[in-house]
Formats: sequence, C-alpha cells, structure tokens
Amino acid sequence: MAQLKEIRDRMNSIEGTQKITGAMYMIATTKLRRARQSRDNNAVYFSALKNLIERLLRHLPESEHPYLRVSEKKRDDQTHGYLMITADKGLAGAYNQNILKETERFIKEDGGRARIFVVGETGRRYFKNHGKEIEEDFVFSSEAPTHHTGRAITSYLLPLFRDGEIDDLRIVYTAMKSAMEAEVRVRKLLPLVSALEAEYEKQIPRDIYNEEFIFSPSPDEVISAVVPNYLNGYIYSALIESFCAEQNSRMLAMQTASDAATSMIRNLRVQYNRARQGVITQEITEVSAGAEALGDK
Amino acid sequence: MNTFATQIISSDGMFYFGRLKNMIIPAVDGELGILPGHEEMIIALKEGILRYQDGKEEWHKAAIGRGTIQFANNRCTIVVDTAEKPEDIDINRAKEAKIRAEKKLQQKLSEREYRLLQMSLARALTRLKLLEKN
Repeated sequence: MAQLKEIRDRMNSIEGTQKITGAMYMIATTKLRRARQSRDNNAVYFSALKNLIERLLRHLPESEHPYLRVSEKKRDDQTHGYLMITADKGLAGAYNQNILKETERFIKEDGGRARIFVVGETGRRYFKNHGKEIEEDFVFSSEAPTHHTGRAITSYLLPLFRDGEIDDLRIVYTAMKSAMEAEVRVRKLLPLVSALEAEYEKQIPRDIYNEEFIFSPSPDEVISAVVPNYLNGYIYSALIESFCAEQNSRMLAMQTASDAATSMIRNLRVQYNRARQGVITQEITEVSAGAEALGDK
Repeated sequence: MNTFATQIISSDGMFYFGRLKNMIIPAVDGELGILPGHEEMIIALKEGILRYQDGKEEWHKAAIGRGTIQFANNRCTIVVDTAEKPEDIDINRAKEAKIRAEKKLQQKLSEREYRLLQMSLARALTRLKLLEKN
C-alpha cells in the first residue's frame, strides 16, 4: 500500500508542475506573437537606418567628429564597453547562458579593462554571483522593450564614449536567425567607423558613382544628430529582437518540459496500475488461502 | 518630373510610401521646403510637424520625432523614430506627458535626465501643436 501512495504522490506533483509549465508555455506563446509583430514592424526601420548610416559614412568628408574617433591607446590600456541583453527571468532554455558565455569570451579576447552594462535581471545576478564588477546604476528591464528604454540606454552610454571613459562599445544580443532558430550576435556600435567596416566592407563596391550630398547645417552637426538616433534605433531593435528570441526559447523549453512531464506520468501510471493489480492479487490470494484454511477444519 | 518618390519610415513600420509634390520638413535649424528634383542632401530632423502634399494636391500633416532625411536621385527617404497622423495622437497622453516632463524639469537633475526630459517634452509639445492646428 505504501508504494501505491508514493507513486500517486509523485504523479500529483508532476501534474502540478505540468500545469505550471503549460501555463508558462501559453504566456510565452502570446508574448512571442506580440513580440514578432513589433519585430516585423521594426524591420523596415532597422534596415533603413543601417542603409542611412552606411550612405552617410560613405559620403562623409574627412571628419574629426568624436563619435568616429578610434582610440589611439594601446590595446591593453583600453577600456571596452559591453552592452549585453539578457532576460529578466530564467527558465528560457540556454538563452541566458549563450549570451553570458559569448560576452565572457569577448572580454577575455579583448583584454584591457571591461565595463559591463547589463540589461535584464538574470545577467546582473550572474555577474554578481561570480564576483565580477558590473555597472551598478545601469538598471534596465528587458521585458516589453520600448523606445524610452532605447533612448535611456543611449543617453547613458554615449556620453561615456564621448568623454573617453570607454574606448569602444559592443552590443551582445540574441537575434532570430529563422522562425525557430536564435543566434548570439556581437556588433561594435562605437566608434562608428569600425562598426561599419566590420559589417559592410566586403559588400560595398568602391568604384560606384558617388552623389555629392550637402550636409546641413554641417557634416559634423548631422553626425551629432544622427548618431544618437542610430544608437537608439539599433538598441531598440536589438531589444525587440532579443525579447522575441527570449520568448521563443522559453516557449520551446516549456514545451519540452510539458512533454517530459506527460511521458513521466504515463510511465508512473503503468507502474501504479501494476502495483495496484499486485495488491489486489495478493489480497485475493490471502482471502482464498484463508477460506481454504477454514474449509479444511 | 513634378513629383518625387517618398518613403517615410518610422520605428513601427512604413508610415508613408508614394509620390509627393511638395514637402516642408522641420530641420534642426528651421523649416525647409522640398520640391521635386531637389539637390542631393542629408539633413538632420528634429521633433516637429512634417507637412506634405500628395499627387492630388492634398496637404497632410504628421508629428515626427528625431531622425534624418536623405534626398538623392529624386527619391526622398525619411527615417524617424516616431511619426503620427493627427487622428492617431492621444491628446490626453500627450498632455499628461507634457505636465510630467515640466514637473520633473523643476527638480534638480543630472545632465542626462535633463536631456531625456527635454526630448520627451519636445515630443509632447509637437503632438499638441499638431492637434491645435487641426
């Protein structure tokens, strides 16, 4: 009898967990649908923004603008900035781990000093638990990204670069490679030139006809106005993209968990029935043995 | 060549796509009119009211946020963070945002907070201005 109760308790507890994973699956599905929608809406803007910057830099006369300045310090003396986008919550498969691993790899490779700007609670907790220094007053949530978050992050990071406190800035985020597949991406945001060289150098034919553009009021003023916008847009898009990937990853993780629960319950039910039959058989044997013993007298 | 192809792209998608006859944009140093065949240029835009005339001679207005305009080969591309038609603006939200920003600006702020608020106030004022004019 004791065994029967044990099995039933386990089944109950697994069913309880399955209800939770099932609910989380549903929530992630709804959030994913909304996130996909805003990601699709944002896609045109994102690519237009990239084209614009590419064109701007291609046509730009020589400029000493601070946003384009490449640090002249030695590699080991440089301070690198990392903006990483993690989730606020766990239980999203390997989503957070992938981001953390990739960032740590870059920090190691780059050398020098690192300043880490973390969006999302999981990333903050990870670095705190591992005794690594992160920017304490840089607190942003990765849940339901808005323009405001993008602007606030830019207004935090851009002055740091302008004042030379960081020599470059990278963003580490997760992008949706296809509808089901996510991938960690690392892009250099500042200084601007190398960000573009990395992404576009191979694609632009150098000998095409270049229109002469006027920059109003002046090229440097245009850069001053455009770069914060570009960063806002880039960060906002990366936030959306990451949020989408997070929900997708959580949805898949919860689906796997629910499936695993179903198969565990099935196995336990078989065990339970077998044990129950065993108990009944035993009882019958006992009763008939008892009757036999009585009949003998 | 009495019209020019125009795309107005905001962060939540294509806001306008079509041919225009005339356009007046809020540039950083004042308003600027654009007619077909305009010289090639890249100009920074600030929060303000964008006015444009379509092929049927009809004028439209939109409240736009910061961004840029490029004009090349009689094609115009505007990339801004927000763009809204008058009918899409929530007047109460804009009013609240204005009051909130004004109140916060009274307090002692860091330079960063000041700039953020200034931008948010400018957006609220643009939206309200556009609604008043209609």
